Amino acid sequence: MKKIYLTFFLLNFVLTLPLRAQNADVGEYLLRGNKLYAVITVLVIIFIGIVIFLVNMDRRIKALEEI
Amino acid sequence: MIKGWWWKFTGVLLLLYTIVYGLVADVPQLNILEESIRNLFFHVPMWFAMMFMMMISLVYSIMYLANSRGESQVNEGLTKKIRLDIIASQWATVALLFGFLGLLTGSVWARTTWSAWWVFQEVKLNGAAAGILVYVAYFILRGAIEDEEQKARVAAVYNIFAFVMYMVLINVIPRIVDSSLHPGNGGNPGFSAYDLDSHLRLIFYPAVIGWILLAAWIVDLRIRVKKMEMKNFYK
Repeated sequence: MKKIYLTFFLLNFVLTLPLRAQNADVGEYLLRGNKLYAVITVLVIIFIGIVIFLVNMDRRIKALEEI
Repeated sequence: MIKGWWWKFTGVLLLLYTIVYGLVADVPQLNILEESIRNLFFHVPMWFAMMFMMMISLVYSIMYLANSRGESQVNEGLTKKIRLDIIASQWATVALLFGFLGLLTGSVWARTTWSAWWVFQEVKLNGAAAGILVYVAYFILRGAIEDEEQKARVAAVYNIFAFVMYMVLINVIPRIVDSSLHPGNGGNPGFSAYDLDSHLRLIFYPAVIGWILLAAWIVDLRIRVKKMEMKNFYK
C-alpha cells in the first residue's frame, strides 16, 4: 500500500511540474501549440481509462489463480 | 463473441492509423478550434462507440428476456440465461467506460474552445451526464440484488429503459431544444461543412470502427473472466 501511495505522489509531482512552474490556471496549458495540447490531453485520458480496466482485469485474474 | 484474432488485429491497426493520421494529417484551419479540431477523431468516436455498445447490450438483454428454455441449456457450467446476462452486462460496463472518457475528453475540449470545463446551459452536456447516470444506476441495481437469476431479470428489464432514456437525453432533447453549442446542433455548422474533400471522414470512420473493435476485445476478455468467476462461485 505504501508503494502505491509513493507511486501516486511521484506521478502527481512529475505530472504537475510544468503547471506549478507556470503558476497558471490548469486550463491555460491546453491552449498551447495552437491548442494541440488539448488533443494530447484527450489521448492521455483515453489511455489512462483503458489502463484502469487493465489493472482491474489483472486483479481479478490474480484472484482466480489463487483458488 | 467472434472467433479468431483477425478482428482484434484490425481494430489495433485502425487505431494506429487514426492516432498517426489524426495527429499529422492536414486539417481545416479554423478560428477558435485551431488544432483542437483533431479531437474529432478521438472524442466523438467515444460516443459513437458507446451508443453502438449500448445497442449490443440491449440486444442481449432482449435475448435474455425472450429466452424461455435457457435454464436447461447448460454449457461451461453456466446456463444459457446466465451467459446472456453476462454478455449484456459486460458490454454495458465497457460502454460506460467510453461514456466517462467521452465526458472527460469533451470537458477538455470545452475548456479549449468554449473556455469552460462545463457549460451548464448546454443541453447536450447535461443530457450526456444524465444518460451516464442512468447507466450508473444499472450497475447499482445489479449490485443491490443478491440472487443471480433475479439480478439478471431485473437488470435486463432496466437495460431497455436505460437505452431508451439515454437516446432521448442525448439525441432527441438536444434537437428539440435546438440551443446546443455542439457542431451540427443548434444552428451551428457540423464538421461536414468544413470537410468538402471528405478528408476528415477518412480518419473519423476508421476511428469509430477501431474503437468499437478494441472495446469488443476488452468485452471479450471481461466475459471470459466473469464466466470463470461465476463457475468458481457455483462450484
